[in-house]
Amino acid sequence: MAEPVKHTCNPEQWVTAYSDEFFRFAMFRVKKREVAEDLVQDTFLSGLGALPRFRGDCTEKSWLYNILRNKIIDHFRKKVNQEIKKSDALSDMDDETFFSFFFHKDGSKLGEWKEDVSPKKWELAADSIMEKEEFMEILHYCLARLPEVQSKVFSLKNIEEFTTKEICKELGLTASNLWTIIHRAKLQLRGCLENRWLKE
Amino acid sequence: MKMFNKLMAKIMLSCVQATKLSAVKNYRKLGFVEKMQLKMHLFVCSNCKAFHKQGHQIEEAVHQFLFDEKYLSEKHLSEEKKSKIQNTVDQELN
Repeated sequence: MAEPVKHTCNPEQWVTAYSDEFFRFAMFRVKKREVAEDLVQDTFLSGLGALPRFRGDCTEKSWLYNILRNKIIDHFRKKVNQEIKKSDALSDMDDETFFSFFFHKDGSKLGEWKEDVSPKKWELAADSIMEKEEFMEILHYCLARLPEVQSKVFSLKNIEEFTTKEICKELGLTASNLWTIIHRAKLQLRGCLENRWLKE
Repeated sequence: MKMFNKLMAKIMLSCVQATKLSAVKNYRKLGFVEKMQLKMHLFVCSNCKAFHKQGHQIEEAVHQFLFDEKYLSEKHLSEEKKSKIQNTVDQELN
């Protein structure tokens, strides 16, 4: 019977072999250079600390990747908890103020869109590559302006493909928090996009 | 007539409520009643209808954006940072 392969571990080579790849992996998810760099560094340091526990039944690369993944999740978790604790979390404005920007909060039009911010038609040619490029540029700009917790939600949903339950668990949110975050983000994002898109 | 309006107000969603359902639709399953209410509202409200349509376009665009390498501003650690990390690792090893 063949002996199971025991994978080796060469910490002196880690930086040369893996740092760029790990950096891209982290950068993709956290979108900030400094944060990604720190996560990579912390991964290697944690790896060094955990070396005695490396049993060689998986490659050192996948072992380190696991550490990196967990550090990224911890990073997401940490900042969101801080954000939620502040009374003016969710982007500096309380819910009432935020929604009253878009919708009438009293009078006969209670709950309806305010005219000056109501959605206009977007003429998005389905096959125009130029337009698509422009649209993506504007989207980039507007996404950057969302509160960070919303970027995390998008990331976890689209990249990690977490379920809603998992997203709530990772970010320490109730489902109710999450719906409000998403609602606000959609309104804000759509508004920002429209302002810039229609200016063209 | 007043009774009717009162009833309609209870059944029909406000735009605040409709936009919320439209937004969370991608994240959870809407209940039967919610689906009906949203449908009814979108039928009579052109603003929310536009919001709903644009919402789809946005979700798609965001998905594309997140996976598009082009929008990743950085692809490598700086050489400086790499050396720094290597030094830290070397120190720990010795």
